Amino acid sequence: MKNKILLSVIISAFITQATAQSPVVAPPQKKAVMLIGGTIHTGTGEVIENGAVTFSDGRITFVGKASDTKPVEQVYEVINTDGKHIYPGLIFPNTSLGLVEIRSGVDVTVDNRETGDLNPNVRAIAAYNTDSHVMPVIRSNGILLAQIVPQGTLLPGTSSVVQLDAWNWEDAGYAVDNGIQLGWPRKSAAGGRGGGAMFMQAAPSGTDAYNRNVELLEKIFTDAVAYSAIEKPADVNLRLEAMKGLFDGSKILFVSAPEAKGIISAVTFAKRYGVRRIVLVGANETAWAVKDFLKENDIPVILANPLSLPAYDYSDIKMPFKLPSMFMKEGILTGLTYSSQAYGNLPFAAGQTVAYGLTREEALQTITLNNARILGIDDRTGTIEKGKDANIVVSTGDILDMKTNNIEYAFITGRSIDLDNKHKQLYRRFQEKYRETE
Amino acid sequence: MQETIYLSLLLILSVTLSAQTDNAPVVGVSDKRTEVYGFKNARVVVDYQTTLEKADILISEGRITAVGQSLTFPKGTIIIDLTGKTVYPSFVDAYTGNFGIRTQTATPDAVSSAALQNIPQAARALLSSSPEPRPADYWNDGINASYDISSEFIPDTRTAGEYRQIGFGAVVTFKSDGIARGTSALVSTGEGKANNVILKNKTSANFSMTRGRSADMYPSAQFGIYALLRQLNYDAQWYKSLPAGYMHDDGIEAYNANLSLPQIMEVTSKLQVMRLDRIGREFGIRYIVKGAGDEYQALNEIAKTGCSLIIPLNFPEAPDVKDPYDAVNVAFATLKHYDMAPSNLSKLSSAGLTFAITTSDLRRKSDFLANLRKAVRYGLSEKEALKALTYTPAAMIGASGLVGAIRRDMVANLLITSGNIFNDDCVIHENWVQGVPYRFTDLRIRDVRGTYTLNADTAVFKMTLSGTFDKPSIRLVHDSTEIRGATFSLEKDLASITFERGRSRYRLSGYISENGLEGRGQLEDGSWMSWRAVRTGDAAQADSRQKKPAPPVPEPGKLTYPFSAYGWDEVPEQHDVLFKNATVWTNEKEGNLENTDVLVQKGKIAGIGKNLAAGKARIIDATGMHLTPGIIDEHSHIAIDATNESGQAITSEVRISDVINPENISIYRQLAGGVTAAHLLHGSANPVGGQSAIIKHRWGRTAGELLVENQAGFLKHALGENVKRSTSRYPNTRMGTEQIIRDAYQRAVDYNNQWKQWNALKPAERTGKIPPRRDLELDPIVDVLEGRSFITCHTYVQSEGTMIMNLAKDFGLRVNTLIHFNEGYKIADQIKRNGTAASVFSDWWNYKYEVYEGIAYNAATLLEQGVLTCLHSDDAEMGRRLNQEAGKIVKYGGISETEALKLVTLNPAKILHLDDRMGSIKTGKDADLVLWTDHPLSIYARASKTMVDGIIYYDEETDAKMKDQIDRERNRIIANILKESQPAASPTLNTARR
Repeated sequence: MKNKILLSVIISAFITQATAQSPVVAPPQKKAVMLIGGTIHTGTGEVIENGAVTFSDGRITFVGKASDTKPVEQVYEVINTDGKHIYPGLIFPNTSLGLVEIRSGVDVTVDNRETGDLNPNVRAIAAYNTDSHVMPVIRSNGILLAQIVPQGTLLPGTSSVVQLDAWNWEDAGYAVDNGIQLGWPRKSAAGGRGGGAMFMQAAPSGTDAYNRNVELLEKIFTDAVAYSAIEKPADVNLRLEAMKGLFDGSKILFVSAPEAKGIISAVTFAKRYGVRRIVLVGANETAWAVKDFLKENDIPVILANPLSLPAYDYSDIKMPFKLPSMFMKEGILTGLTYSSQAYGNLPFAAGQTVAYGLTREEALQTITLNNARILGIDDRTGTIEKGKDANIVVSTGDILDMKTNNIEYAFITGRSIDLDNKHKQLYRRFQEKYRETE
Repeated sequence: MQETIYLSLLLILSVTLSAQTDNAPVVGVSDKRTEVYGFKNARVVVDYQTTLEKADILISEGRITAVGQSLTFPKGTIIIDLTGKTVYPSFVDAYTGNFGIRTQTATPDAVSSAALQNIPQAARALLSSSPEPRPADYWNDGINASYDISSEFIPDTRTAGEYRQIGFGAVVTFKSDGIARGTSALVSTGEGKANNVILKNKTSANFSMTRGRSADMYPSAQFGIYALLRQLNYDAQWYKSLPAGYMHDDGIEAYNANLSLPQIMEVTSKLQVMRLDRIGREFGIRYIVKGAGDEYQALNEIAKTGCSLIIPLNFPEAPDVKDPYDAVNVAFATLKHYDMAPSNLSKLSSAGLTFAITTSDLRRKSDFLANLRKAVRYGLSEKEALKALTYTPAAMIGASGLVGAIRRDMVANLLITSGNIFNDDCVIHENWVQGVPYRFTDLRIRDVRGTYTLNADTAVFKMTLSGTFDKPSIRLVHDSTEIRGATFSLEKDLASITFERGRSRYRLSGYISENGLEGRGQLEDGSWMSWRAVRTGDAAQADSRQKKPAPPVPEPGKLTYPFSAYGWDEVPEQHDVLFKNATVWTNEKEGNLENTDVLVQKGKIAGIGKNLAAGKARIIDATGMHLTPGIIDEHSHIAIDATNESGQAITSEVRISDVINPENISIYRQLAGGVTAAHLLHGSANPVGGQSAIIKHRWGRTAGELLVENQAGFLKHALGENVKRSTSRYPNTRMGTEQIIRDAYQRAVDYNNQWKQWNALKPAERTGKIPPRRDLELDPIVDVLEGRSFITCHTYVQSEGTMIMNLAKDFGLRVNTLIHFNEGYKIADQIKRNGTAASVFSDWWNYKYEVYEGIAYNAATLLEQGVLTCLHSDDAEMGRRLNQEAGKIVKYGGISETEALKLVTLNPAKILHLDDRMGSIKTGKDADLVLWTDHPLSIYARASKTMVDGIIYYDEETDAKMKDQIDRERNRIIANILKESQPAASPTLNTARR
C-alpha cells in the first residue's frame, strides 16, 4: 500500500514525460554524506551491524559502528539506513555493455567485434555509449562498475573498466585500456556446452586451424616483445604499441580458453613472452580440470555465469552453481560474471552460489572485492573501506536475493545516482493509462 | 537314387531353360558351356537350422539341383572335393542403398534456417505462387514413390566384389535418396548382364526419415516428415475415390500400387521406431524398420512394437581417452554406446525380435566379418546370426525360395569356408554367386601352412609357415637360433624364400610338391643349388602357438531408464508418502499453512492437516522446509527432437507429440529445479507452427508415458520478427503476417463447411462428386474453430497482440494465451477484456528490437489489471530456476509472495486447462510436489525432493549417488578402452619368440 502512495507521487512528477529517457547524470558530490544505521557488508567478509559510513569528495572517510560517530546535519547529509543493507557497488566483468545495444537483428547497434583476428589496438572505450538504455536498468540492481570488452578470436582488442553514470566515455573511464583480451583457439571439435567463454567465440576447430592460429599469436607476441624494447620506434605500429603494457605489467591479459589443455597452453604461452598479469575469463568446469595448474601459476579466474547449464551430460547437474565455492576453497582468486549485460542479475548469480557452498559474504566478495582485484581496481574500489572511492549501494534487504534486492540509494564516487530507468518509466507511464481509464 | 534320375531330367530341362535367359542375338562364335559342378564331402549348412556332414551339392546353370549325402553326379560334372570345408548359403543383405546406380553428390540433408535465407533457388521456390512446372508427380519432391530401381540398375563390379569378399551373394538395392524412395530389387553380387543379375524386382517399397536431395524446403524437420507421410497416405486414399479425368499423379498411383510390397523404413535413431510404428498403424502399414544400431537403448519399447528390423553392425570406434584432459570431452552417452553397441543384436534376439543384419552404415565393408564375430562374442547365438544373414532378409522381401538356403531350385549362391564362419581364424575360400565361382584363396592349391625341415646348401633349418592361406609368413630356425628377416612369398603354386645366414644370402625358388616344397636357389656368388622342405606337421599345430586369443568380452554396462546419464537402474515406483511438519503453500484460499502435514496416496493428494496418520505411507520429515505444488513451465522446448518446421509458413500439421524425446537430460535437470510439467511448443519460425504437447517430467518413462493424460490441444502461432525474418518467404511484414493467418483460418472455415456438406450427403448422392481432400494443415485449425483446441500465440509488441485477438474474434474465437508478450503491459486492459491469458518472461528484454520496450514490471502490471498471467522459461537453463523468476516479480512490482508462486504453478495450470488436477495442494489433485530447503522464492532455496504423481523422481541424496555411479561407470568404460587399444601381441608370446 505504501508503495502505491509512493508511486502516485512519482507518477504525478513524471506525468508529462512522454518517452523513456536516461536519467540525468549525477553531479559531483558537494556535501559529505553519512549513511547511518543498517548493516554494512564491507566486501572484505566483515559485517557491521548498526553501522555508519561517511564519505566526502567521493572518498570514504569513515566506516564503523553508528555509535562511534555523530550524525551532524550541518556537516553531513544524513541518510537513515536503519534495517537496510549497505554494500560496495557491484562490479560486472567481461561485458559488452555500451558496445551492444540490441544484439539480434539490429546489426548497426552492435559494436563489439572488429574485422580480423589480431586487433589488440581496438579499444572498447572508444565505442562506449553512455546513453545506452541498459546502464540505468542494471544500476538499479546495484551494479555500478563494469568491464567492457571487445569480442572475437585471438586478439580482439583492449578492454576498460567504466563506472555506469556518465555524460560521455571520458567521464565513464575508471581504468582505461587496462586489459588486453586473448581468445585462445579451440582445438577439438568435441566439447561441452554452456557456461563457457561467452564473449570470446572459439576460433575454428581442428588441429590445422589451431596450429595456424597459435603461430599467428606466437609471431605477434614475438614481435611485440621486440618492439617493446625500442624506445622510439621509427615506424609506430599501433597493434604492437597496444601490447606493450603486457610486458611491463601495466596491462592485464584476459585469457579465454575453451579447453583444459588450451588453458595450459595459453597460460604457458603468455608466461613465455613475459606477460606479467594473466587472468582466466569465462572459466567453467573445464577449467576445474586444471585447477592445480591455475593454483601453481597463481592465475585468478573470472567464472562464467553460474546460472548456466553443466558442460557435459555426466556433469554434476549443479556444477555451475558449485564451481565458485570449489574454486574459492582451492585458494584461487575467484570472480564472477553473468552472461547478459542487459539484465541486472549479477547479484543473483552470486546469490545462487550460497546454497552450494559459499557464505553470503563470500558470494558478495566474488562480485565486489574479487572482481576489483582481478580487474586491477581494488586500490580504489571493491570494498567499503576508508580511503576508497565511495561506490556504495543501499538495499532494502539482502542484495543477493531477488526477493529482497531493492536498491534505494547508489553512490558512484560519492555522487548520488538517479535510480530511475526505462523499465520504471514505462511502468509508470502505463500505470497512468490504467488510472485514467478506470 | 530315384532322385538322381529325376535330377538328371531336370538338368536337361534347365539347360533348355537357360537358353532363354539370354535373348540377345549371338555375336561372333557362341561359347555356351554346360557348367555343372559337384561339390563333395563338405559340411553343408543347408539353412540356419540344418547342417549336413559329408554332404554333396550339385549345381547347374546357376541353380542348385541337388543337395544330400552321397549324391551321384551326372557325367561331365566338374567335381570339387571340399573335405574339411564348410559350405554356407551366401549371405543376403536386405539393405544396400545405391548399389549399381549412379548417385549424385549428396547435398546436406538438413535445412538450416540459415539455408532458408541464403539459397536463392529455394527462395524462388518458396516465393513463387506458381512453382516451376513439374511432371505429374506428387507435389512434394521428397516423395519419389514411382521410382523403379531396375530402370537404372547396372551391376557395379567393384562394389559387388566387396560384397562377395565378405560373404554376400544377393543384396537388395534401392535408391538412397528422399523420403519415399520407390521400389528396390533383389540382385546377385555376381557379374553379368543386369537382366540376369536382377533376381527379383520390386522387392520392397522404401522410405526414410531423411529428405535427401529434395528440391523442396518442406519438410525441413523430423515432425514435418511424419506430417508428410500422413498426408501422403490420406492423399493416396483420396486419390482412389476421385472420378476419372480429374487428376493424374504418378507418385500416388505408384504409392498405392506398392502398398502390397514390404514397406521398409530407414530411421536415424531408435526413438523413430516407435514413432513410425504408430504412424504406420494409423494407416494399416507395418513398416520393416532399418535401424541405426542403437535399438538396445529402447529395447522394451521396440519389443512392444513387434517390428521386423534390419540392423547394421556399425559399432562406434573407441573414443580417444588416452589423454585424461581429452577424455573429459567424451560424453557419457558416447562411452555407453561404445560399451553396449556390440551387444545390440544379442539383446534384440533375447527380446524375441525378428531382425536381418545389413552391411550398410559400416565405415568399411571389410569391417563386416570382424563386427559380426564381435556381435557373436557379445552373446548373439551363431544360429540367430546366420538366420539374420540368410533366411530373415530373404523372407522379409519374399525371396526365401530364391536365396538364403542351399536347396534345390534355389540360386547357387554358395560360400565355401575353412570352417565355422564365426571363428576369427575362419577364411572364406570361395563365394559362388549364381553358379559362378569367385575365389579368394584357390582351393585347388595345397595349403602350405605347416612345419617343415628345410635342407639347403648342406644346412638344415626348421621352417614354419603360418598365417593366412595365400600369404603365409615364415619362421626359420637354425641350431635353435631364429633367423631374422626371412621372407616367403607364394604365387599360386610357386614359392620364393629369402634369408641370410652367416655371410651368405639365400634366394630360393621352387614349387609345391607332394610332400612339401622343393626347387633351386642361388647364393651370393651366383652359384646354384637344390633345396627341399619336407613337411613334418600341419598348420593347426603351427598356428596354435601364434594364434592371438580372441579379446575377452568386457562385461557390458547396464541399460538405464532412460538411456542417459542420471537414468535409473529401475524406474522409481509410486509409494504413499506423508510429508510431516512443512510450511505448505496450498495456492488455495487457505494460503500458506505452517507445521502442516500432506499425505500422498496413489499419486494423489489425500490429506492436508496437522498430525495426519501415516498409515503405510513413508514419512518424510519436512520440518523447517517448504512444500509447494510442482512448478509448471508453460513454454519450453526441452525433450523434443525437432523445434521448427520452417519449410512452410503454415505448418499446423506438425505435432510435437511425434518427436518427444524422453531421454533428454533436461527433464531430469528441470526436476532438480522443482519443475514437474512443461508445455512443449513448436518454435516461432511460422505464423502457424504446430500442435504442442504437455508432458510431466516422469523421468525414465517412455515418450507416450510422459504425455499428460486428457490434455487440451494447443496450436502454436507466432508473430513479429521471427516469422518475417526469412526474406525469401511470405510474410515479410506484420501486415503480411495478419493476412496469412487470416487466410489460413478462412480456408479452414471453408474446408470445414465442405466436409460438413459432404458428410450430409447420402452415399448415393456422392457418386461422381469429388470428395473433399483430408488436409492435415487445416484439420488442427478446424479443431480450434470447433473449440477442441486453443490458440497460443508468440507475441511481442502491442500492435500484434491487438491484431491476433481481433483476428480471433472475427472467427468467433478467443486467443487462449499470448506468449512472451513483453509489451503486454501496454494493453493489459484489452487482454483482460478478451479473456486472454499471458505467459511472459520475468526480466528478459533488449536482445532484439521487438523487446526494446520489454520491462520487468510486465507480469505485475498484467496481474494488477486482472489478466491471468504466468511466467515461463523458453530456456532449458532458466527452466530449472522458475521459482526464482517468480521471486523477481515480488521485486519488480511488489506482488505478494503467494501470488508470485502462483505465477509458476497454479496460473500455468489454469492457462493449460489443467487446474482441475494440477497447480495447487488440494485433496484429490495430482501429487506433483516440491520440497524446498528454504523459502521457495528465495535464491537460497534448493529443491530437496521433487515428486510427480506421488513418485519421487528427484532427490538430492539420490542425485549424489547417481553422480558417483556415473563416475564409476565412466572409469570402467575408459579402462576397457585403454585395455583394448593395447598392442595386439601379448607379452608372454613375445618372450616365447625370443
